[in-house]
This record gives sequence, structure tokens and C-alpha cells, in this order.
Amino acid sequence: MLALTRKVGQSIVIGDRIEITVVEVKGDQIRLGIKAPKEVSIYRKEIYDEIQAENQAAADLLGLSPNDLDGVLSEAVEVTKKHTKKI
Amino acid sequence: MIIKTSRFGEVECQEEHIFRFVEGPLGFSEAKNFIILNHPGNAVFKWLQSTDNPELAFVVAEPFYFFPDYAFDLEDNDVKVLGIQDREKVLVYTIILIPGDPKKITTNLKAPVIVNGENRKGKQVVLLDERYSTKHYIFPQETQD
Repeated sequence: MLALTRKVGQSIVIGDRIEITVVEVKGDQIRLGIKAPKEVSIYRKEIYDEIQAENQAAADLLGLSPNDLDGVLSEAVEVTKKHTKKI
Repeated sequence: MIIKTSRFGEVECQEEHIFRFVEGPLGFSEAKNFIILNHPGNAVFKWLQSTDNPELAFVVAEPFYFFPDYAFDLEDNDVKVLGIQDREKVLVYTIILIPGDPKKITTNLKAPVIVNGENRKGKQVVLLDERYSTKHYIFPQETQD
């Protein structure tokens, strides 16, 4: 991993379009300012990891045999019906 | 056109029914084209099926069905990339996680899939709202027995 030393107010540039500035340093917390094109999504890594893992787990459903999945889904449908009557 | 799916076999679909994702769901950034298929015999669950990868599909649902109070503000940036002009044209789905016990089904309210019916652009967005997490039970959890 590339490690660069920067002071408050200084920046790094990634490619032509992304700029990251150290805005503030307070103890062990660092506040970063990020300029990036709107198509580039920026996430806190722990949240990114959590959602990626959740998506992966949801997609792995198809790893179940079609029969098992059908069983689980029909049961889910029944449970849905039971609960939605109450709504 | 014909879409290959590992679950439903070959599915006939109109080109204009395909949602073009600005970026794929997190962890699946290459998967940018999806169609929404109804789950046979059930109006609640739908399938978000990749048209590029037959094996990639998610079970999704409209979250308001289970969580009538679910509400969030889209960030300006997401409104822009999705080209949203009319909020009535926006569809919201959340990804469903089905464990062995169907009563324990959860859905990810933290990262809903937003599609703009007007231009068919889609994106999984991440909400900053702390009230929502990646796992909400969709059925009330019974504490007795």
C-alpha cells in the first residue's frame, strides 16, 4: 500500500478526477474532504463491507437446490399471507 | 430478446424492460443490467435478475409492504445520477435474505435498490440514516413458546 504524509489542508489527487483533502486532525480522528465525479460512490469501508457481505449472502440463495429454495419461498409466501391478513 | 436465467430458464423480455444500473449492487459492480420478474404465485416477492449473468439474482420486495413507515431522503448525488425528476416514477425494492427458517427472513433497509421508471436507471444506494440496518425481520418475531 502506498503511504503518503500530508498536513491539514494538503491533498492527494487520484487520477484526474478525485481529490482527497485532510480537513482536520483531532486526536486519532481525521476528517477528510473528498471531491469526486458524481458517478463515483464513496462509502465508509465498514459499511461497504457489511452491505457487500449481505448482497453476497442474498445472491447465494441460488446455491440452494431449486427444490429447497422453492420450499423455503412457498413457506415464506404462506407466512406472508398469514401476517398480511393482520395488516 | 431472450434472457438466460439459472432459475427460470430462458425468459422472453423486451429490451426496454431492462433496468440499466449506474453501478452494480455492492460487490457485484460489473452486473449492470437487470430485469424484475414476478415470483410465481406471489405478489410480494420479486426477482431482480441479472441479464448478463444467468446465475445472479436477488429476491427483492417492496419494503413499504412490511414497513409502512419506511422513509428516507435520497442524496442529491443519487437523485442526479438516477436522473430523477418525478418521485412518483421511482420504485424502491429491498433485497431479501432467506435463511433456512422462513420466519427469520430479513431485508436490507440500509441499502435499498432504487429504480427510476422514467429512464430505467437503477442503483443500490446506501442510506446514512442510522435507523436502518442491513437486517430487519420482515415478520414479527414471536417471543412466546
